[in-house]
Amino acid sequence: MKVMLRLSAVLISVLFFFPLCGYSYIDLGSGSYIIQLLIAGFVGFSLSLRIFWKKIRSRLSKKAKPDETVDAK
Amino acid sequence: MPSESQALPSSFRDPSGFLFEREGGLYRQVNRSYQGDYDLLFSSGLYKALTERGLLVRHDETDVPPPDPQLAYKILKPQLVPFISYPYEWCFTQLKEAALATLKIQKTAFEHGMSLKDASAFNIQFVDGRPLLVDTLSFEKLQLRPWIAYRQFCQHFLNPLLLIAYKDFHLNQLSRIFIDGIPMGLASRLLPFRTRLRPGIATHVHLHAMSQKVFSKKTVKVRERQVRPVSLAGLVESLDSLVRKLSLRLKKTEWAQYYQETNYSPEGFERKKRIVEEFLDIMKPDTVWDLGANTGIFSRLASRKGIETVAFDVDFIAVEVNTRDCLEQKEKNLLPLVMDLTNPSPAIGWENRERKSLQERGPADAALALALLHHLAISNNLPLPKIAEYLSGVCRWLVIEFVPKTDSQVQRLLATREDIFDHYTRSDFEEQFSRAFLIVRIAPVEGTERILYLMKNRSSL
Repeated sequence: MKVMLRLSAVLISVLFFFPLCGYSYIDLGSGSYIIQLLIAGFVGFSLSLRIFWKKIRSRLSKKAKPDETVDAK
Repeated sequence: MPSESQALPSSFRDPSGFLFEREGGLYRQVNRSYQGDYDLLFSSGLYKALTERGLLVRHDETDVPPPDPQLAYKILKPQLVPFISYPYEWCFTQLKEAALATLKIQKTAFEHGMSLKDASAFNIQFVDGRPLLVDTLSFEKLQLRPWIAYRQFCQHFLNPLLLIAYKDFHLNQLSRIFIDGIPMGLASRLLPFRTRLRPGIATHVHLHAMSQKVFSKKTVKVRERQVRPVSLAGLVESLDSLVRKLSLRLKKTEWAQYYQETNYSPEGFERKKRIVEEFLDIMKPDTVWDLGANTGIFSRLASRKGIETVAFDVDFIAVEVNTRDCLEQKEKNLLPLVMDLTNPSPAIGWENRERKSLQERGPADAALALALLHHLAISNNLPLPKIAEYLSGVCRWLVIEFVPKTDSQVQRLLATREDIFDHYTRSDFEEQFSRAFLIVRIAPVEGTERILYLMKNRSSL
């Protein structure tokens, strides 16, 4: 029951900030809409982090390469 | 004015267009309201990308007069699907392949600035052994908002896959009762507790079901809400990763028994195969239904001749074994399906006309009923005239095996019950089947007590 109440609080706050929109011939439904926003937000955030981390790594490796050539010379 | 009454009974939900039949041909009307998305499907390169990968049905635009000219933008002639099958007739691997194909299509659509506006398992058909999206009108311009087909994907694909993998494969039949997919709440209640500890299942199923329950009676104001592309891609990736990891685990012994089914010698088995091949050469069918196909050994005699063959069996695991073999050997003309012939797929949906019954999807040019008769007549108490009548409704030619009471397999069926089958004799069998069929050939299988018959439906004479 506590879990349900907590989840409801989270979902209702999400609903307050991101209200539902209707637009297609099939019905997504409020519950599916809310949970999708939560999952999409979470996986989107972790995917962004991964992309960001990859970019940093590739920049660092690019910076490291010229130094290596200098050393080689 | 012609009306959409000419549309197929299954084609009415999506206002973008509908399927119709004319002079034996199948066509799709694209409505003007869908013009923008239809044009984008081509200008974005999505149609080309998907058809080249064998994921979307090909079509030609035609000049056939539209059934509803006021609404019509284009008339398409789609590539024909040899046999329409439904998700409740698929085994685990077929359902998983169909789910992964849907997600792959969605990912490709994203790359081309489009998105799937529905994710119905009924839109997927198996052609050349691979899953194919057969609804050309399933795409819309990608808009940065939640995926409208998310719940449908979960109900049509994710829930049945999870229930088969974690609970029992018979639960796939729930898709027959719930035509819009297995409800989230029901799937959540049926899945074992340990699935709540797996993050993917906990969120996409259990929290999803809980969220539906919480908001089921709430009225919500409508307003646009943007979702970042990376979030949409992440959602699809998350579903893909979850589905990909699912597997149907069985003990080695459970698999093995399907390869040791017969009670006669390898020589007898080979003779039976030769007779069936000989009969196939006489019939020259374009389509074959193998009724009670087990793992499809005899079905392959037909499919490897290039004949479109459907291998039906009541045993989910036999169909699973057959499907895995088909995938491994890249079989193109063989479609294994789960079917209980004593309770075949009925017509279901609105007006009982949305999804066809098995019989409505026939007749096949030829049916194979090998080692089937004794199961129907003795295990299921079906009188011979009823069996003959049913089979005459599903095929033009019939190859049927008569297994006498003295055969050890029939003895096994009779071991635990009273023999009330006085009419289960060769002479009664021939007499009853002769009413609906003309007996063309009789071939005893040497080294066994079994007899193969080649019969022609009297209504096809």
